[in-house]
Amino acid sequence: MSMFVEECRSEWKRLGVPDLAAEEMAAELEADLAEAGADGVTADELLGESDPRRFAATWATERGLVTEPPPEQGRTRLWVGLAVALIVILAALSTATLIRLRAKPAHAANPVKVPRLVGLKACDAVRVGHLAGLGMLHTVYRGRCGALVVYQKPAAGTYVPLHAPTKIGLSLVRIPRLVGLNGCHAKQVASKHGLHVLRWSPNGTFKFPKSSMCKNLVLTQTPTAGQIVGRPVTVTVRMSRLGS
Amino acid sequence: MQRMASESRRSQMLRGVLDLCLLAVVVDEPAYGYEMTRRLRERGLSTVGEGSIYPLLGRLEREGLVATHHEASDGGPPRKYYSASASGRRALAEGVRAWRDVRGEVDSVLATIEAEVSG
Repeated sequence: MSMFVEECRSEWKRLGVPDLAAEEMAAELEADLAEAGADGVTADELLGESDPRRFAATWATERGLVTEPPPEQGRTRLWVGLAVALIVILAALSTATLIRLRAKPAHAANPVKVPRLVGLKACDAVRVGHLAGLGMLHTVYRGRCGALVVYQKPAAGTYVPLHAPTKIGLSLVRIPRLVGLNGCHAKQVASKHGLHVLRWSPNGTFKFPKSSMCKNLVLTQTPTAGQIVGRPVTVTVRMSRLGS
Repeated sequence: MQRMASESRRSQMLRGVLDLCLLAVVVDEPAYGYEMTRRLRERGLSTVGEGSIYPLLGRLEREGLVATHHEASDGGPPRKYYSASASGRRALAEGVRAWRDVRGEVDSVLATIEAEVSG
């Protein structure tokens, strides 16, 4: 067995990965490394990672076999050193005083505190969720990036495992057909759906349709009818010039 | 320095779609880990950047997007094969659609820049 796989095994053992799963991963890795070696592909090239401990921890974490994030060795050692030094100093200073150290609530099994996503824009919510360590299930489609999140599960403030599946619901609207309607009717229909309407003008400025536009018809609209987009929505229309 | 930055950017961009690439190479026929990297290479993706496909496969497996089974190999230990599950196929279809949207939007912005630079 290669040294790399051996070190992975040790790391999985340290992290408490079940033996069966560790055996399976070790066998898979060993076989792939051997085949890659025969093709002239090095372990670094295949794995893109030269640190077996970090590789092993990341793999096991992604499989959901541990909830501990991958170790950042240098930083971890530094923090451990600082913690030890702090304890020694506190012990020395507290010879006459009893210091009660109250342990914080342990969330070892559920280390991720769910942030509030409701009220955020869809793309921001997905980004925030990913950064917090959640497994965001929602794919934000084109045109829905700015849609507001109106629902989330799990709720904000709860503690969940790393990469826990997280759902969000968006405030969406199906765009009504405005093409063919006169300006006033188009405005009424749009308002009913909670949409803002802007009139396209050739010189590049956009103005709200005037009441004088009632005689004119909507020739084109963006977004087109039938599209499902996130609120808030502004529909840009191009009007005929019959009544202008 | 510039090359490192470029590689890092490539790696970051790949990170968002590598799961789709992995699903794409097992959507028709199951494959084990190394065979998947081979298929990626054959289709033009020679390096997958920082990290490895294994943690990503672990996540896909945990999320039920790939199904796994073991098959005997010639003379060696059984190999673990991955194939796209039904939800994996759906995720792939949705992911590809999202990727094409993003690619189109980014292209429409960057195409102008490229023209100005080359001009």
